[in-house]
Amino acid sequence: MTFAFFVQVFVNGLMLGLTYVLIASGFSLIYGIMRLLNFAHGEFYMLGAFATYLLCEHLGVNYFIALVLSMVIIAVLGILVYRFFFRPFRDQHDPSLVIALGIAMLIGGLGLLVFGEKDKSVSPVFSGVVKILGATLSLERIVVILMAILLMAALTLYIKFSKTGQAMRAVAQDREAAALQGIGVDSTFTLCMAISSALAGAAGALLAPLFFVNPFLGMHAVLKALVVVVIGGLGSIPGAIAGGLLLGFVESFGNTFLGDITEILGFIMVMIVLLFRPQGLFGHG
Amino acid sequence: MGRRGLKYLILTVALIAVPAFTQDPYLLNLLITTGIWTTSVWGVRLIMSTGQLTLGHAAYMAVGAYASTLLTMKVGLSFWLAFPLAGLISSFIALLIGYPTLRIKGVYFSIITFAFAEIIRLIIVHWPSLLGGYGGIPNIPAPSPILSVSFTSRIPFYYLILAISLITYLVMVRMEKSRIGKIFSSIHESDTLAESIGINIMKYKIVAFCIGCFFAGLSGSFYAHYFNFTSPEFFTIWQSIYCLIFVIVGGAGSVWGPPIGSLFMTLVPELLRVAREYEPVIYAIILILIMFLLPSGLITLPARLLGRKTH
Repeated sequence: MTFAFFVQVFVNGLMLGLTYVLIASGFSLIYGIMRLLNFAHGEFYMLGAFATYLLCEHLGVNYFIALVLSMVIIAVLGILVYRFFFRPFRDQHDPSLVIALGIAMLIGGLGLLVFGEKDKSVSPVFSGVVKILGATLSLERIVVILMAILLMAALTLYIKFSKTGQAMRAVAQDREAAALQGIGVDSTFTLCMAISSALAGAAGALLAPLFFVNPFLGMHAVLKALVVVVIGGLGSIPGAIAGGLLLGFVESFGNTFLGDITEILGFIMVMIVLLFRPQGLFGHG
Repeated sequence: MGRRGLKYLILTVALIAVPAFTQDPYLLNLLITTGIWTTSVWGVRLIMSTGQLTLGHAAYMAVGAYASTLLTMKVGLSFWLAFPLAGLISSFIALLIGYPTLRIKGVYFSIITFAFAEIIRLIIVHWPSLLGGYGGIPNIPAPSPILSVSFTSRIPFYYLILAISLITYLVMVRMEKSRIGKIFSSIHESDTLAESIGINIMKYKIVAFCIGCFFAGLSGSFYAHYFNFTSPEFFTIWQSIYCLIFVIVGGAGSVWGPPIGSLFMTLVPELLRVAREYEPVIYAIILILIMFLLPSGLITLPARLLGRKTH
Protein backbone atom coordinates (compact mmCIF):
# COMPACT_ATOMS: atom_id res chain seq x y z
CA MET A 1 0.00 0.00 0.00
CA THR A 2 1.56 3.27 -1.08
CA PHE A 3 1.36 6.30 1.18
CA ALA A 4 -0.73 8.24 -1.36
CA PHE A 5 -3.21 5.37 -1.46
CA PHE A 6 -3.34 5.32 2.32
CA VAL A 7 -4.10 9.04 2.36
CA GLN A 8 -6.85 8.48 -0.16
CA VAL A 9 -8.50 5.74 1.91
CA PHE A 10 -7.99 7.80 5.06
CA VAL A 11 -9.69 10.86 3.58
CA ASN A 12 -12.56 8.71 2.33
CA GLY A 13 -12.93 7.27 5.81
CA LEU A 14 -12.85 10.75 7.31
CA MET A 15 -15.59 11.93 4.98
CA LEU A 16 -17.72 8.85 5.54
CA GLY A 17 -17.13 9.10 9.28
CA LEU A 18 -18.08 12.77 9.41
CA THR A 19 -21.33 12.09 7.60
CA TYR A 20 -22.10 9.39 10.16
CA VAL A 21 -21.22 11.92 12.85
CA LEU A 22 -23.66 14.46 11.41
CA ILE A 23 -26.47 11.93 11.24
CA ALA A 24 -25.74 10.23 14.56
CA SER A 25 -25.19 13.39 16.61
CA GLY A 26 -28.73 14.61 15.90
CA PHE A 27 -30.07 11.17 16.70
CA SER A 28 -28.07 11.00 19.91
CA LEU A 29 -29.10 14.52 20.91
CA ILE A 30 -32.77 13.49 20.77
CA TYR A 31 -32.11 10.38 22.83
CA GLY A 32 -29.99 12.22 25.35
CA ILE A 33 -32.56 14.94 25.96
CA MET A 34 -35.92 13.37 25.13
CA ARG A 35 -35.14 9.69 25.82
CA LEU A 36 -36.61 8.88 22.43
CA LEU A 37 -35.12 6.65 19.73
CA ASN A 38 -36.16 8.75 16.77
CA PHE A 39 -36.38 6.24 13.94
CA ALA A 40 -37.72 9.01 11.71
CA HIS A 41 -34.32 10.72 11.91
CA GLY A 42 -33.02 8.81 8.88
CA GLU A 43 -36.07 9.85 6.88
CA PHE A 44 -35.32 13.50 7.72
CA TYR A 45 -31.87 12.92 6.24
CA MET A 46 -33.45 11.39 3.13
CA LEU A 47 -35.83 14.35 2.79
CA GLY A 48 -32.92 16.77 3.23
CA ALA A 49 -31.20 15.13 0.27
CA PHE A 50 -34.40 15.30 -1.80
CA ALA A 51 -35.03 18.93 -0.83
CA THR A 52 -31.55 19.80 -2.08
CA TYR A 53 -32.12 17.76 -5.24
CA LEU A 54 -35.42 19.54 -5.99
CA LEU A 55 -34.05 22.99 -5.16
CA CYS A 56 -30.87 22.60 -7.19
CA GLU A 57 -32.00 20.51 -10.13
CA HIS A 58 -35.58 21.69 -10.62
CA LEU A 59 -35.59 25.26 -9.31
CA GLY A 60 -32.00 26.11 -10.13
CA VAL A 61 -31.20 27.43 -6.67
CA ASN A 62 -27.55 27.96 -5.74
CA TYR A 63 -26.21 24.92 -3.86
CA PHE A 64 -25.31 26.75 -0.65
CA ILE A 65 -28.67 28.48 -0.50
CA ALA A 66 -30.29 25.08 -1.11
CA LEU A 67 -28.26 23.66 1.79
CA VAL A 68 -29.53 26.31 4.18
CA LEU A 69 -33.10 26.04 2.86
CA SER A 70 -33.02 22.24 3.27
CA MET A 71 -31.91 22.66 6.87
CA VAL A 72 -34.74 25.11 7.53
CA ILE A 73 -37.38 22.96 5.81
CA ILE A 74 -36.35 19.81 7.67
CA ALA A 75 -36.14 21.69 10.98
CA VAL A 76 -39.71 22.92 10.51
CA LEU A 77 -40.79 19.39 9.62
CA GLY A 78 -39.07 18.11 12.76
CA ILE A 79 -40.94 20.62 14.91
CA LEU A 80 -44.26 19.65 13.32
CA VAL A 81 -43.59 15.93 13.84
CA TYR A 82 -42.73 16.62 17.46
CA ARG A 83 -45.82 18.75 18.10
CA PHE A 84 -48.33 16.43 16.47
CA PHE A 85 -46.90 12.96 16.93
CA PHE A 86 -44.14 12.75 19.54
CA ARG A 87 -45.50 15.12 22.18
CA PRO A 88 -48.70 13.14 22.89
CA PHE A 89 -46.53 10.11 23.78
CA ARG A 90 -43.79 12.11 25.47
CA ASP A 91 -43.48 10.27 28.75
CA GLN A 92 -44.38 6.82 27.47
CA HIS A 93 -41.28 4.93 26.52
CA ASP A 94 -42.44 2.15 24.22
CA PRO A 95 -45.32 4.03 22.54
CA SER A 96 -42.99 6.92 21.67
CA LEU A 97 -40.61 4.47 20.02
CA VAL A 98 -43.45 2.85 18.08
CA ILE A 99 -44.87 6.18 16.93
CA ALA A 100 -41.38 7.15 15.71
CA LEU A 101 -41.26 3.91 13.72
CA GLY A 102 -44.69 4.70 12.31
CA ILE A 103 -43.58 8.16 11.21
CA ALA A 104 -40.42 6.69 9.67
CA MET A 105 -42.53 4.21 7.73
CA LEU A 106 -44.97 6.90 6.66
CA ILE A 107 -42.25 9.24 5.39
CA GLY A 108 -40.23 6.42 3.80
CA GLY A 109 -43.33 4.96 2.15
CA LEU A 110 -44.53 8.34 0.89
CA GLY A 111 -41.03 9.09 -0.37
CA LEU A 112 -41.11 5.91 -2.41
CA LEU A 113 -44.53 6.77 -3.85
CA VAL A 114 -43.70 10.40 -4.62
CA PHE A 115 -40.09 10.17 -5.80
CA GLY A 116 -40.02 6.61 -7.15
CA GLU A 117 -37.28 4.09 -6.47
CA LYS A 118 -34.90 5.34 -9.20
CA ASP A 119 -31.66 6.97 -8.12
CA LYS A 120 -31.50 10.73 -8.58
CA SER A 121 -28.34 12.74 -8.66
CA VAL A 122 -27.44 16.32 -7.86
CA SER A 123 -24.82 17.77 -10.18
CA PRO A 124 -21.46 18.30 -8.50
CA VAL A 125 -20.81 21.74 -7.06
CA PHE A 126 -17.01 21.67 -7.18
CA SER A 127 -15.47 19.66 -9.93
CA GLY A 128 -11.75 20.18 -9.33
CA VAL A 129 -9.25 17.94 -7.58
CA VAL A 130 -6.55 18.79 -5.08
CA LYS A 131 -3.31 16.97 -4.42
CA ILE A 132 -2.53 16.41 -0.77
CA LEU A 133 0.49 14.33 0.30
CA GLY A 134 0.63 12.77 -3.13
CA ALA A 135 -3.00 11.68 -3.13
CA THR A 136 -5.53 13.07 -5.60
CA LEU A 137 -8.68 14.08 -3.77
CA SER A 138 -11.82 15.59 -5.20
CA LEU A 139 -12.51 19.11 -4.02
CA GLU A 140 -16.14 18.13 -3.42
CA ARG A 141 -15.14 15.70 -0.68
CA ILE A 142 -12.84 18.20 0.97
CA VAL A 143 -15.68 20.73 1.07
CA VAL A 144 -18.00 18.16 2.65
CA ILE A 145 -15.37 17.39 5.29
CA LEU A 146 -14.89 21.07 6.09
CA MET A 147 -18.62 21.79 6.24
CA ALA A 148 -19.23 18.82 8.51
CA ILE A 149 -16.47 19.90 10.88
CA LEU A 150 -17.88 23.43 10.88
CA LEU A 151 -21.40 22.20 11.72
CA MET A 152 -20.19 19.89 14.48
CA ALA A 153 -18.06 22.67 16.00
CA ALA A 154 -21.06 24.99 15.93
CA LEU A 155 -23.23 22.34 17.61
CA THR A 156 -20.69 21.60 20.31
CA LEU A 157 -20.11 25.29 21.08
CA TYR A 158 -23.83 25.94 21.08
CA ILE A 159 -24.62 23.19 23.56
CA LYS A 160 -21.69 24.10 25.76
CA PHE A 161 -22.00 27.87 25.95
CA SER A 162 -25.39 29.18 24.88
CA LYS A 163 -28.16 29.69 27.41
CA THR A 164 -30.55 27.37 25.54
CA GLY A 165 -27.79 24.81 25.06
CA GLN A 166 -27.21 24.77 28.79
CA ALA A 167 -30.93 24.39 29.30
CA MET A 168 -30.80 21.34 27.03
CA ARG A 169 -28.07 19.77 29.11
CA ALA A 170 -30.00 20.52 32.27
CA VAL A 171 -33.11 18.84 30.88
CA ALA A 172 -31.00 15.87 29.80
CA GLN A 173 -29.59 15.50 33.32
CA ASP A 174 -32.79 15.83 35.29
CA ARG A 175 -36.02 16.87 33.66
CA GLU A 176 -37.90 17.70 36.85
CA ALA A 177 -35.06 19.66 38.43
CA ALA A 178 -34.66 21.63 35.20
CA ALA A 179 -38.38 22.40 35.14
CA LEU A 180 -38.16 23.60 38.75
CA GLN A 181 -35.40 26.01 37.71
CA GLY A 182 -37.83 27.57 35.25
CA ILE A 183 -36.59 25.81 32.12
CA GLY A 184 -39.45 25.09 29.73
CA VAL A 185 -39.14 21.38 29.04
CA ASP A 186 -41.50 21.47 26.10
CA SER A 187 -39.77 24.40 24.40
CA THR A 188 -36.41 22.72 25.01
CA PHE A 189 -37.68 19.55 23.34
CA THR A 190 -39.01 21.57 20.41
CA LEU A 191 -35.67 23.29 19.99
CA CYS A 192 -33.87 19.98 20.28
CA MET A 193 -36.03 18.45 17.53
CA ALA A 194 -35.38 21.51 15.34
CA ILE A 195 -31.60 21.33 15.77
CA SER A 196 -31.44 17.58 15.33
CA SER A 197 -33.62 17.68 12.22
CA ALA A 198 -31.63 20.58 10.77
CA LEU A 199 -28.46 18.49 11.20
CA ALA A 200 -30.11 15.56 9.42
CA GLY A 201 -31.20 17.93 6.64
CA ALA A 202 -27.66 19.30 6.39
CA ALA A 203 -26.22 15.80 6.16
CA GLY A 204 -28.65 14.97 3.36
CA ALA A 205 -27.83 18.19 1.51
CA LEU A 206 -24.07 17.68 1.88
CA LEU A 207 -24.12 14.13 0.61
CA ALA A 208 -26.61 14.68 -2.20
CA PRO A 209 -23.96 15.76 -4.76
CA LEU A 210 -21.65 12.89 -3.78
CA PHE A 211 -23.98 9.92 -3.72
CA PHE A 212 -27.23 9.00 -5.38
CA VAL A 213 -30.45 10.23 -3.83
CA ASN A 214 -33.23 7.67 -3.36
CA PRO A 215 -36.04 7.00 -0.87
CA PHE A 216 -34.20 4.07 0.75
CA LEU A 217 -31.52 6.36 2.21
CA GLY A 218 -33.52 6.89 5.39
CA MET A 219 -33.49 3.35 6.72
CA HIS A 220 -29.86 2.96 5.80
CA ALA A 221 -28.96 6.15 7.65
CA VAL A 222 -30.86 5.27 10.78
CA LEU A 223 -29.15 1.87 10.92
CA LYS A 224 -25.74 3.54 10.74
CA ALA A 225 -26.81 6.06 13.38
CA LEU A 226 -27.85 3.24 15.72
CA VAL A 227 -24.51 1.47 15.28
CA VAL A 228 -22.64 4.73 15.91
CA VAL A 229 -24.55 5.71 19.04
CA VAL A 230 -24.24 2.30 20.64
CA ILE A 231 -20.48 2.30 20.02
CA GLY A 232 -20.08 5.90 21.20
CA GLY A 233 -22.62 5.86 24.01
CA LEU A 234 -26.34 6.58 23.75
CA GLY A 235 -27.10 10.26 24.18
CA SER A 236 -23.50 11.45 24.11
CA ILE A 237 -22.39 13.95 21.44
CA PRO A 238 -18.64 13.25 21.91
CA GLY A 239 -19.61 9.58 21.68
CA ALA A 240 -21.39 10.18 18.38
CA ILE A 241 -18.28 11.97 17.06
CA ALA A 242 -15.91 9.20 18.14
CA GLY A 243 -18.25 6.40 17.09
CA GLY A 244 -19.00 7.99 13.73
CA LEU A 245 -15.34 8.56 12.88
CA LEU A 246 -14.42 5.05 14.03
CA LEU A 247 -17.13 3.47 11.89
CA GLY A 248 -16.15 5.65 8.92
CA PHE A 249 -12.49 4.58 9.09
CA VAL A 250 -13.34 0.92 9.71
CA GLU A 251 -15.66 0.90 6.72
CA SER A 252 -13.30 2.79 4.45
CA PHE A 253 -10.31 0.55 5.20
CA GLY A 254 -12.54 -2.51 5.37
CA ASN A 255 -13.99 -1.84 1.93
CA THR A 256 -10.50 -1.52 0.53
CA PHE A 257 -9.13 -4.71 2.06
CA LEU A 258 -12.04 -6.98 2.89
CA GLY A 259 -14.80 -6.15 0.39
CA ASP A 260 -18.46 -6.92 0.97
CA ILE A 261 -18.02 -8.32 4.46
CA THR A 262 -17.27 -4.78 5.70
CA GLU A 263 -20.96 -4.03 6.09
CA ILE A 264 -21.04 -6.51 8.95
CA LEU A 265 -17.99 -5.03 10.76
CA GLY A 266 -19.99 -2.19 12.31
CA PHE A 267 -22.34 -4.71 13.83
CA ILE A 268 -19.50 -6.86 15.16
CA MET A 269 -18.05 -3.71 16.79
CA VAL A 270 -21.43 -3.09 18.42
CA MET A 271 -21.52 -6.59 19.86
CA ILE A 272 -17.98 -6.26 21.22
CA VAL A 273 -18.86 -2.92 22.82
CA LEU A 274 -21.98 -4.42 24.40
CA LEU A 275 -20.03 -7.34 25.82
CA PHE A 276 -17.18 -5.34 27.31
CA ARG A 277 -18.34 -1.75 27.69
CA PRO A 278 -22.13 -1.68 27.39
CA GLN A 279 -22.42 2.03 28.15
CA GLY A 280 -20.41 2.78 25.00
CA LEU A 281 -17.06 4.50 24.63
CA PHE A 282 -18.26 7.83 26.01
CA GLY A 283 -21.37 6.83 27.93
CA HIS A 284 -21.82 7.05 31.63
CA GLY A 285 -22.23 3.76 33.50
CA MET B 1 -67.41 -26.51 29.11
CA GLY B 2 -68.38 -22.90 29.78
CA ARG B 3 -69.61 -20.30 27.34
CA ARG B 4 -66.06 -19.37 26.59
CA GLY B 5 -65.12 -22.92 25.70
CA LEU B 6 -68.16 -23.17 23.47
CA LYS B 7 -67.16 -20.01 21.62
CA TYR B 8 -63.68 -21.39 20.96
CA LEU B 9 -65.14 -24.72 19.83
CA ILE B 10 -67.42 -22.94 17.34
CA LEU B 11 -64.52 -20.83 16.06
CA THR B 12 -62.30 -23.91 15.64
CA VAL B 13 -65.04 -25.84 13.83
CA ALA B 14 -65.71 -22.81 11.61
CA LEU B 15 -62.01 -22.55 10.71
CA ILE B 16 -61.85 -26.28 9.98
CA ALA B 17 -64.99 -26.02 7.83
CA VAL B 18 -63.73 -23.12 5.69
CA PRO B 19 -62.59 -25.30 2.73
CA ALA B 20 -66.04 -26.94 2.66
CA PHE B 21 -67.52 -23.56 1.74
CA THR B 22 -64.84 -22.04 -0.41
CA GLN B 23 -61.96 -23.54 -2.32
CA ASP B 24 -61.14 -20.23 -3.95
CA PRO B 25 -57.31 -20.16 -4.06
CA TYR B 26 -57.27 -16.39 -3.54
CA LEU B 27 -59.27 -16.53 -0.31
CA LEU B 28 -57.38 -19.55 0.99
CA ASN B 29 -54.13 -17.77 0.23
CA LEU B 30 -55.25 -14.78 2.32
CA LEU B 31 -56.09 -17.06 5.24
CA ILE B 32 -52.81 -18.96 4.92
CA THR B 33 -50.90 -15.65 4.85
CA THR B 34 -52.77 -14.54 7.96
CA GLY B 35 -51.79 -17.83 9.63
CA ILE B 36 -48.12 -17.34 8.73
CA TRP B 37 -48.14 -13.83 10.18
CA THR B 38 -50.12 -14.85 13.26
CA THR B 39 -47.69 -17.61 14.23
CA SER B 40 -44.74 -15.27 13.95
CA VAL B 41 -46.47 -12.31 15.56
CA TRP B 42 -47.46 -14.37 18.61
CA GLY B 43 -43.73 -14.66 19.14
CA VAL B 44 -43.38 -10.86 19.13
CA ARG B 45 -46.15 -10.60 21.71
CA LEU B 46 -44.44 -13.16 23.92
CA ILE B 47 -41.19 -11.19 23.79
CA MET B 48 -43.16 -7.99 24.49
CA SER B 49 -44.68 -9.63 27.54
CA THR B 50 -41.25 -9.33 29.21
CA GLY B 51 -41.13 -5.63 28.33
CA GLN B 52 -38.82 -5.97 25.31
CA LEU B 53 -39.62 -4.53 21.90
CA THR B 54 -38.10 -6.61 19.13
CA LEU B 55 -37.58 -4.72 15.89
CA GLY B 56 -36.06 -7.56 13.87
CA HIS B 57 -38.50 -10.42 14.02
CA ALA B 58 -38.51 -11.01 10.26
CA ALA B 59 -34.82 -11.90 10.52
CA TYR B 60 -35.73 -14.99 12.57
CA MET B 61 -38.38 -15.86 10.01
CA ALA B 62 -35.61 -15.59 7.42
CA VAL B 63 -33.36 -17.87 9.48
CA GLY B 64 -36.19 -20.41 9.67
CA ALA B 65 -36.96 -20.13 5.96
CA TYR B 66 -33.35 -20.53 4.84
CA ALA B 67 -32.51 -23.19 7.43
CA SER B 68 -35.37 -25.39 6.36
CA THR B 69 -34.70 -24.71 2.66
CA LEU B 70 -31.09 -25.82 3.04
CA LEU B 71 -31.99 -28.78 5.23
CA THR B 72 -34.46 -30.11 2.68
CA MET B 73 -32.62 -29.19 -0.53
CA LYS B 74 -28.96 -29.67 0.41
CA VAL B 75 -29.11 -32.16 3.28
CA GLY B 76 -32.13 -34.02 1.94
CA LEU B 77 -34.16 -34.03 5.14
CA SER B 78 -37.91 -34.35 5.02
CA PHE B 79 -39.91 -31.16 5.60
CA TRP B 80 -41.40 -32.72 8.70
CA LEU B 81 -37.97 -32.87 10.29
CA ALA B 82 -36.62 -29.64 8.81
CA PHE B 83 -39.64 -27.68 10.04
CA PRO B 84 -39.05 -28.11 13.80
CA LEU B 85 -35.29 -27.85 13.25
CA ALA B 86 -35.83 -24.47 11.56
CA GLY B 87 -37.57 -23.28 14.71
CA LEU B 88 -34.74 -24.56 16.89
CA ILE B 89 -32.07 -22.94 14.73
CA SER B 90 -33.91 -19.62 14.92
CA SER B 91 -34.04 -19.84 18.68
CA PHE B 92 -30.35 -20.72 18.83
CA ILE B 93 -29.51 -17.56 16.84
CA ALA B 94 -31.80 -15.65 19.20
CA LEU B 95 -29.80 -17.02 22.14
CA LEU B 96 -26.54 -15.76 20.59
CA ILE B 97 -28.02 -12.29 20.09
CA GLY B 98 -30.03 -12.22 23.29
CA TYR B 99 -27.20 -13.13 25.63
CA PRO B 100 -25.06 -10.00 25.18
CA THR B 101 -28.00 -7.62 24.65
CA LEU B 102 -30.54 -8.67 27.27
CA ARG B 103 -27.99 -8.35 30.08
CA ILE B 104 -28.25 -4.61 29.62
CA LYS B 105 -31.45 -2.83 30.55
CA GLY B 106 -32.97 -0.17 28.36
CA VAL B 107 -33.35 0.23 24.65
CA TYR B 108 -30.31 -1.79 23.58
CA PHE B 109 -32.37 -4.86 22.81
CA SER B 110 -34.54 -2.93 20.34
CA ILE B 111 -31.49 -1.38 18.70
CA ILE B 112 -29.62 -4.66 18.34
CA THR B 113 -32.56 -6.65 17.01
CA PHE B 114 -33.11 -3.87 14.47
CA ALA B 115 -29.46 -3.83 13.39
CA PHE B 116 -29.11 -7.61 13.40
CA ALA B 117 -32.09 -7.98 11.08
CA GLU B 118 -30.15 -5.99 8.52
CA ILE B 119 -27.06 -8.18 9.08
CA ILE B 120 -29.08 -11.33 8.32
CA ARG B 121 -30.31 -9.71 5.12
CA LEU B 122 -26.76 -8.69 4.15
CA ILE B 123 -25.46 -12.22 4.78
CA ILE B 124 -28.16 -13.64 2.50
CA VAL B 125 -27.44 -11.05 -0.17
CA HIS B 126 -23.64 -11.49 -0.07
CA TRP B 127 -23.61 -15.30 -0.04
CA PRO B 128 -25.22 -16.20 -3.34
CA SER B 129 -23.49 -19.60 -3.66
CA LEU B 130 -25.25 -20.96 -0.59
CA LEU B 131 -28.16 -18.62 0.05
CA GLY B 132 -29.09 -17.53 -3.46
CA GLY B 133 -28.26 -13.81 -3.03
CA TYR B 134 -30.73 -11.21 -4.25
CA GLY B 135 -32.37 -13.68 -6.61
CA GLY B 136 -33.46 -15.99 -3.82
CA ILE B 137 -33.81 -19.78 -3.93
CA PRO B 138 -36.50 -21.20 -6.24
CA ASN B 139 -38.04 -24.68 -6.44
CA ILE B 140 -38.20 -25.34 -2.72
CA PRO B 141 -40.05 -28.65 -2.40
CA ALA B 142 -43.52 -28.77 -0.88
CA PRO B 143 -43.88 -30.90 2.27
CA SER B 144 -43.77 -34.62 1.43
CA PRO B 145 -47.13 -36.46 1.61
CA ILE B 146 -48.17 -37.39 5.12
CA LEU B 147 -51.03 -39.75 6.08
CA SER B 148 -51.71 -40.04 2.33
CA VAL B 149 -52.34 -36.28 2.06
CA SER B 150 -50.18 -34.71 -0.61
CA PHE B 151 -49.48 -30.98 -0.68
CA THR B 152 -50.59 -30.21 -4.21
CA SER B 153 -53.40 -27.72 -3.57
CA ARG B 154 -53.89 -24.91 -1.07
CA ILE B 155 -56.26 -26.92 1.13
CA PRO B 156 -53.64 -29.14 2.85
CA PHE B 157 -51.48 -26.04 3.36
CA TYR B 158 -54.47 -24.34 4.91
CA TYR B 159 -54.97 -27.18 7.36
CA LEU B 160 -51.26 -27.34 8.13
CA ILE B 161 -50.98 -23.65 9.03
CA LEU B 162 -54.26 -23.92 10.94
CA ALA B 163 -52.77 -26.76 13.01
CA ILE B 164 -49.55 -24.79 13.55
CA SER B 165 -51.51 -21.72 14.62
CA LEU B 166 -53.71 -23.73 16.99
CA ILE B 167 -50.69 -25.34 18.63
CA THR B 168 -48.98 -21.95 18.92
CA TYR B 169 -52.15 -20.54 20.44
CA LEU B 170 -52.32 -23.34 23.01
CA VAL B 171 -48.65 -22.85 23.91
CA MET B 172 -49.19 -19.09 24.33
CA VAL B 173 -52.28 -19.49 26.51
CA ARG B 174 -50.64 -22.20 28.62
CA MET B 175 -47.55 -20.08 29.16
CA GLU B 176 -49.55 -17.01 30.06
CA LYS B 177 -51.46 -18.90 32.75
CA SER B 178 -48.45 -20.74 34.13
CA ARG B 179 -45.78 -19.61 36.57
CA ILE B 180 -43.46 -18.48 33.79
CA GLY B 181 -46.17 -16.22 32.34
CA LYS B 182 -46.62 -14.57 35.72
CA ILE B 183 -42.87 -14.07 35.98
CA PHE B 184 -42.84 -12.50 32.50
CA SER B 185 -45.54 -10.04 33.45
CA SER B 186 -43.82 -9.20 36.73
CA ILE B 187 -40.69 -8.36 34.75
CA HIS B 188 -42.83 -6.28 32.41
CA GLU B 189 -44.37 -4.38 35.33
CA SER B 190 -41.04 -3.59 36.95
CA ASP B 191 -37.83 -5.41 36.22
CA THR B 192 -36.09 -3.85 39.20
CA LEU B 193 -38.80 -5.14 41.54
CA ALA B 194 -38.75 -8.58 39.92
CA GLU B 195 -34.98 -8.67 40.31
CA SER B 196 -35.23 -7.67 43.97
CA ILE B 197 -37.40 -10.66 44.80
CA GLY B 198 -34.82 -12.98 43.33
CA ILE B 199 -36.02 -13.47 39.76
CA ASN B 200 -33.19 -13.88 37.29
CA ILE B 201 -34.69 -11.39 34.84
CA MET B 202 -32.04 -11.88 32.19
CA LYS B 203 -32.71 -15.62 32.05
CA TYR B 204 -36.44 -15.12 31.61
CA LYS B 205 -36.02 -12.39 29.02
CA ILE B 206 -33.76 -14.72 27.03
CA VAL B 207 -36.23 -17.60 27.40
CA ALA B 208 -39.07 -15.41 26.08
CA PHE B 209 -36.90 -14.18 23.21
CA CYS B 210 -35.82 -17.70 22.21
CA ILE B 211 -39.37 -19.09 22.33
CA GLY B 212 -40.69 -16.09 20.39
CA CYS B 213 -38.04 -16.62 17.72
CA PHE B 214 -38.77 -20.36 17.64
CA PHE B 215 -42.23 -19.53 16.32
CA ALA B 216 -40.76 -16.99 13.89
CA GLY B 217 -38.57 -19.81 12.58
CA LEU B 218 -41.53 -22.16 12.17
CA SER B 219 -43.46 -19.45 10.39
CA GLY B 220 -40.52 -18.74 8.06
CA SER B 221 -40.06 -22.42 7.27
CA PHE B 222 -43.73 -22.83 6.35
CA TYR B 223 -43.50 -19.67 4.26
CA ALA B 224 -40.62 -21.03 2.18
CA HIS B 225 -42.25 -24.42 1.53
CA TYR B 226 -45.63 -22.89 0.83
CA PHE B 227 -44.42 -20.38 -1.76
CA ASN B 228 -41.67 -22.78 -2.98
CA PHE B 229 -39.42 -19.75 -3.01
CA THR B 230 -37.45 -17.64 -0.57
CA SER B 231 -35.71 -14.34 -1.10
CA PRO B 232 -34.19 -11.58 1.06
CA GLU B 233 -36.95 -9.31 -0.22
CA PHE B 234 -39.45 -11.14 1.97
CA PHE B 235 -37.52 -10.43 5.13
CA THR B 236 -36.66 -6.75 5.13
CA ILE B 237 -36.65 -4.28 7.99
CA TRP B 238 -40.20 -3.32 6.92
CA GLN B 239 -41.41 -6.87 7.51
CA SER B 240 -39.86 -6.84 10.97
CA ILE B 241 -41.63 -3.63 11.79
CA TYR B 242 -44.87 -5.05 10.40
CA CYS B 243 -44.62 -7.89 12.95
CA LEU B 244 -44.52 -5.35 15.77
CA ILE B 245 -47.24 -3.20 14.22
CA PHE B 246 -49.58 -6.20 13.85
CA VAL B 247 -49.35 -6.87 17.59
CA ILE B 248 -50.06 -3.25 18.46
CA VAL B 249 -52.92 -2.90 15.96
CA GLY B 250 -54.51 -6.13 17.21
CA GLY B 251 -53.76 -5.38 20.84
CA ALA B 252 -50.74 -6.49 22.86
CA GLY B 253 -52.85 -7.06 25.96
CA SER B 254 -54.63 -10.13 24.66
CA VAL B 255 -53.53 -13.40 23.10
CA TRP B 256 -56.15 -12.62 20.42
CA GLY B 257 -54.35 -9.42 19.45
CA PRO B 258 -51.86 -11.07 17.04
CA PRO B 259 -54.46 -13.04 14.99
CA ILE B 260 -56.83 -10.05 14.83
CA GLY B 261 -54.00 -7.68 13.91
CA SER B 262 -52.64 -10.09 11.29
CA LEU B 263 -56.05 -10.71 9.74
CA PHE B 264 -56.93 -7.02 9.67
CA MET B 265 -53.59 -5.97 8.20
CA THR B 266 -53.69 -8.74 5.59
CA LEU B 267 -57.22 -7.82 4.52
CA VAL B 268 -56.95 -4.03 4.41
CA PRO B 269 -54.55 -3.75 1.43
CA GLU B 270 -56.62 -6.41 -0.39
CA LEU B 271 -59.90 -4.60 0.27
CA LEU B 272 -58.40 -1.30 -0.85
CA ARG B 273 -57.10 -3.08 -3.99
CA VAL B 274 -53.90 -1.08 -4.05
CA ALA B 275 -50.44 -1.92 -5.33
CA ARG B 276 -47.87 -3.35 -2.90
CA GLU B 277 -45.93 -0.08 -2.83
CA TYR B 278 -48.76 1.53 -0.89
CA GLU B 279 -48.50 -1.04 1.91
CA PRO B 280 -46.01 0.80 4.18
CA VAL B 281 -48.00 4.03 3.95
CA ILE B 282 -51.31 2.30 4.70
CA TYR B 283 -49.82 0.35 7.60
CA ALA B 284 -48.20 3.48 9.00
CA ILE B 285 -51.48 5.39 8.85
CA ILE B 286 -53.40 2.55 10.52
CA LEU B 287 -50.73 2.29 13.22
CA ILE B 288 -50.79 6.02 13.94
CA LEU B 289 -54.61 6.08 14.04
CA ILE B 290 -54.69 3.10 16.39
CA MET B 291 -52.05 4.65 18.67
CA PHE B 292 -54.11 7.82 19.01
CA LEU B 293 -57.65 6.47 19.01
CA LEU B 294 -57.45 2.91 20.32
CA PRO B 295 -54.12 2.47 22.12
CA SER B 296 -54.98 -1.02 23.38
CA GLY B 297 -55.67 -2.27 19.88
CA LEU B 298 -58.62 -3.50 17.83
CA ILE B 299 -59.35 -6.14 20.45
CA THR B 300 -60.76 -3.39 22.68
CA LEU B 301 -62.96 -1.94 19.94
CA PRO B 302 -66.17 -3.86 20.85
CA ALA B 303 -65.87 -2.87 24.51
CA ARG B 304 -65.22 0.72 23.45
CA LEU B 305 -68.28 0.79 21.20
CA LEU B 306 -70.53 -0.90 23.76
CA GLY B 307 -69.20 1.32 26.52
CA ARG B 308 -70.03 4.42 24.52
CA LYS B 309 -73.55 3.20 23.83
CA THR B 310 -74.51 2.42 27.41
CA HIS B 311 -73.08 5.58 28.94
